[in-house]
Amino acid sequence: MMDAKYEIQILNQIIDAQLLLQSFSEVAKLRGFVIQQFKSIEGIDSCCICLRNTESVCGDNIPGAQEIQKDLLELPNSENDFSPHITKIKNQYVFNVKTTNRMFGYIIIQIKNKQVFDHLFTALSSFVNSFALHLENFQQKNQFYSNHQVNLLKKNPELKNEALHESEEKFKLAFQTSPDSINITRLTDGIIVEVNDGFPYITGFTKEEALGMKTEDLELWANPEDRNILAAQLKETGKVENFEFLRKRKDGEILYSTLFASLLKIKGVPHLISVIRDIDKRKKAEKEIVLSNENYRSLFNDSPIPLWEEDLSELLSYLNELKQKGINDFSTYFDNNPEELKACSAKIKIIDVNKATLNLHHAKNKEELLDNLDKIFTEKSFLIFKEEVIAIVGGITEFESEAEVKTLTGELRYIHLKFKIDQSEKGVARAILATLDITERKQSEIKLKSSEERLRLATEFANVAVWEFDFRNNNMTRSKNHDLLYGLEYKEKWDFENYQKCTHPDDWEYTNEMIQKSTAPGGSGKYKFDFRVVYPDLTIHWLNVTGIVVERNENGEAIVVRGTLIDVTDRKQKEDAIKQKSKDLTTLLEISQTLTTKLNMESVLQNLVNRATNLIGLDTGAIYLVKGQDLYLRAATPPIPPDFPDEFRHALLIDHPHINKSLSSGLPVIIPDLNTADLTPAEKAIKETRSMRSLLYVPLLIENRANGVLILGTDKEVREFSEAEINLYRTMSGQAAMAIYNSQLFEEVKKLNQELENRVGERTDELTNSQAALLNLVEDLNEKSEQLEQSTRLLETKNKELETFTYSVSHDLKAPLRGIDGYSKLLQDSYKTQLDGEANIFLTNIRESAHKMNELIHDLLEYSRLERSQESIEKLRIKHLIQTITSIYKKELDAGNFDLIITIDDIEIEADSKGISIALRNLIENSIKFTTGKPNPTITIGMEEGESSWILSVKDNGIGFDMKYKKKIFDIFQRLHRVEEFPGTGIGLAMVNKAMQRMNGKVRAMSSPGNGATFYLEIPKTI
Amino acid sequence: MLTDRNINPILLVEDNPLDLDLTVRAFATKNLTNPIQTARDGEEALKYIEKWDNGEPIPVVILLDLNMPKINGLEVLKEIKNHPEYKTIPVVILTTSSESADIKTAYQLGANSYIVKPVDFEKFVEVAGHIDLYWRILNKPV
Repeated sequence: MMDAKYEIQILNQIIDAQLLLQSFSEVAKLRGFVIQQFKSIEGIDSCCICLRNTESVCGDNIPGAQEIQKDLLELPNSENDFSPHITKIKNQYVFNVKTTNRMFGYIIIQIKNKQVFDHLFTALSSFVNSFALHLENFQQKNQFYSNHQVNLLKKNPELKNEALHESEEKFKLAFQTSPDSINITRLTDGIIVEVNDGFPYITGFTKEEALGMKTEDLELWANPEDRNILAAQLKETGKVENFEFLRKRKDGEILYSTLFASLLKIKGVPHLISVIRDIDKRKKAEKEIVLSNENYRSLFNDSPIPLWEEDLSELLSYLNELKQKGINDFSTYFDNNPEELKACSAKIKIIDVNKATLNLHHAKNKEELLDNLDKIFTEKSFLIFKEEVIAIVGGITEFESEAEVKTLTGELRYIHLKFKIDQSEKGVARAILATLDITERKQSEIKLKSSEERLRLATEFANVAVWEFDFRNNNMTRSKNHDLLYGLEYKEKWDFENYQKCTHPDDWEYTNEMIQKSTAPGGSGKYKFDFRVVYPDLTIHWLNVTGIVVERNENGEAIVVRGTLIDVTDRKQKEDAIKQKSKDLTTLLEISQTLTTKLNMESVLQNLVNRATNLIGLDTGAIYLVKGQDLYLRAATPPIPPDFPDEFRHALLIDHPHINKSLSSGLPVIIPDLNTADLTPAEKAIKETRSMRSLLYVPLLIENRANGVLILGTDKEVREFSEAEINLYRTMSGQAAMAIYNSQLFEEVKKLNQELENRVGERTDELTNSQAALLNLVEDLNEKSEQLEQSTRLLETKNKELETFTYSVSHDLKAPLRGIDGYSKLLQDSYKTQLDGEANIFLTNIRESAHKMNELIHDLLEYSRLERSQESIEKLRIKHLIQTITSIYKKELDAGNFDLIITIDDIEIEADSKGISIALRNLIENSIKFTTGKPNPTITIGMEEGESSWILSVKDNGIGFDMKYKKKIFDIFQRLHRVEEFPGTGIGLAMVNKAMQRMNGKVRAMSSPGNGATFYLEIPKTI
Repeated sequence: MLTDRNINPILLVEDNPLDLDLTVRAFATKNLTNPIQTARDGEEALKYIEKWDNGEPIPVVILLDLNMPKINGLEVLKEIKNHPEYKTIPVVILTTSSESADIKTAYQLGANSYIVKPVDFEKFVEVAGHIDLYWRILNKPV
């Protein structure tokens, strides 16, 4: 939309210019002026004029102008080309500069703003026409007059007249054709003498009406004062220009006009030529603008909506720069360069903000707000601002969005932002920004959303239905899950009847009453209760309903009730169960406390029966303990009177079949009504004495062994025992039985404990004594053991010493013997020739002595070795041993023609083989020694088994010996014969004896002189 | 290794002078003409090792008495039988001891032969003859 102000300004300019055309005396200057005028108009980029008679284009170098100029030049003088040159170049327009008579040329202009041009086209055309007229004038003048010629005219009156005539004609033309109202009035009296065509158009008076009239008669002046002012000015300056005044049209319309007036002499008489131009529209428009500006300003300031007036010119040019740099994806650009966005926001000039804006941001005044602009933006604000900028860049002039801002005090505000840009004025981009505070609305929205959500969840998951019942049309508006709560599928209609049908008959009356009471006039208006409904499948469910009366009629009756409906079956069931459980537990706890804290039988039982009876409000109770076939009444409530018959205290089980039954089955037994039951005499008797009507027998069992029975019941009324009650007692009975058992055990334990203590005491003493004794024994043993060790060590040492001794002895004793023998022999050998027989004998004797000595030493060594040696018992093939030993003496046996008989079985015995060897060897040697030379020398070796030993016998048929020496022969070095008779040292049998001694055996000899000898070796059997 | 068989000395280690003399005479009776090296105790015996190192002729057999003062025969036996060079020299234990322990130990230490000296000189001469036989086997030319 073009700025009205601007349009008016230009129009004025053009009109002025039109008038000024006449002031130019030269074509060239005139041309220049025209071009200048065109160019000064915003929207016209360039202008040039191509005229005939001129050689070149005057003005800007517009494409195509040269061609046009060329054509013009070629046009013959007489021809008039009235066809407009329409160029194919966009934004170009060509005005034909022509009058009715003649065509002068073209004005070519390049348009920037077509809008502007369109608005001004009429004015410009008029201007061009005037220009053409003036050119015609000039032409005529020029054709006939040059400056020189003008001077000439001055001198030449005829010429002058002619010229005057010419000019008069011209003037006439101009006068007539001008769109303005021109009138000539006689100055003296103000009579209108001449008016132009424009006059009637502007004033509404026809020529005929005007001519001869005074202007004031025509009441041209709306304000007569103006005329006076005009006159005054005229007097002063002689002309008036741009005099604004209000004039009246014929039809009374008052319009703004502007007046150009100039004094004129017609035939010497001063006249006034007035040109009146209608500026009413302009003026009114101006006024409107001012008014609208004022309106606008007041609207702006007083608007309850926060408004910002901004100048975006700088921003726009900056954005254009960016565009020219090649940036076209501004969204990404700003994402990557957030500082740019900030820079953009800085380029926005805030022209004005209204009061509402200050209030929104808690600013005291405009300055405060503008100084703290950075404080009012949040992250989100910038995002929206980005969108704004992108919209602006895209040429969008209107922008709307929701955004957020902050007050100067830091509070967050939600706004609805609307933004309008006006880019009509060249180089200026203004914008109005409205930021409606929608914080409350937004917050409410959020709250509402969340509460809606919560409600939805609540109702969905909690099986809650909401309903609203209108009494007037009996219509129930309700949530979808409502009908489900009645076990029904969603029906279209739900009314009172449905409700009645579904409600449990027992609950119908009281619930109905409640509803009536609260909904009635004056009622509480609220109700809330649980009630039962029966599902189609006949199951019962509990529902909880709440209702509130939201609308009543004028009589106070409820019209609309609203409420909720919830399925509370689970809850109800649980509640009941819990209640019951809680009760049971409390009682059980109490009972168990009593039971466990007491171990005294009597008080345990009394307590038990009391509690059990009270538990479900019974009247009578008793506890019997059972031992084998006997029943013992141990506790009862009401308490047993002292004169209570004994047969009731101690009874037989067979007389009480009910008790028996419960004990043997381990299950509770009930007698619903003793009056009608089948009772034994004993039972009847008790019933009478104690007054009982319904009874429950609860067995008290430990590990299925009957311990006792708890009997509970009523005294007068018949009573049923519910399953729950029975179960309760069963639970209790277990504990009770346990308690009784414990109590019994406790007594026993106490008794046993005492016994044990006594016994332990005794034992301890015994033990202490034996312990002491044992300790003494151990001490003795230790002592003895030590002694033994000592002796053993001593013995070992002694043995060792002995060994060394014998070793040395044998070794050292033998050496000299070698000397003796050796040298004796050498002597005998070497000095054989020098020695006589006697000397030889001497030497031989010497030698023999040495040999003897050697023998003795040898035997001694052997004997001692036998002493020292270890006995080793091993499995022995006795026959084999004997054969081995006898084979040693094979030479001698063969030499003496001995007959060796061995009559031994090839058996195994366990014995010390070394010992046996030594013994045997010596015996065999002896046998050989003492049997050699005898006829048929025979040695017989045999073995017999005795009870505890083997008897090995060596028998010969040698010289034998006298039995009186049977002991002596076993002494060491003891001989029964002279040296020359038999060789030997007398150690042989000592060796045998020793050998047998070692193995705990014996040797015996049997003999008689000349009849050989038999030696028996007793080899003990090993166990 | 025996370096020079032709010389063939015999080393006799014996502390008793009478025994020593009798042994020599016994060998003589059996016509053993080998030179006899003597050592009167263990210490002297071991000194021979040095002598043999220095080039003195190595005996073809060592006759070793066990009971000797200072270092006894078993020790000498051990030394010689552990010597890298001279362990190959045959060692005959010639002693009066017939203790089986001694015999066992001697063989364990590497004695080649164990002879108990008889008191009877004639028997001893026989023994010497046996030694000669033994020695003769060793004396085979290479």
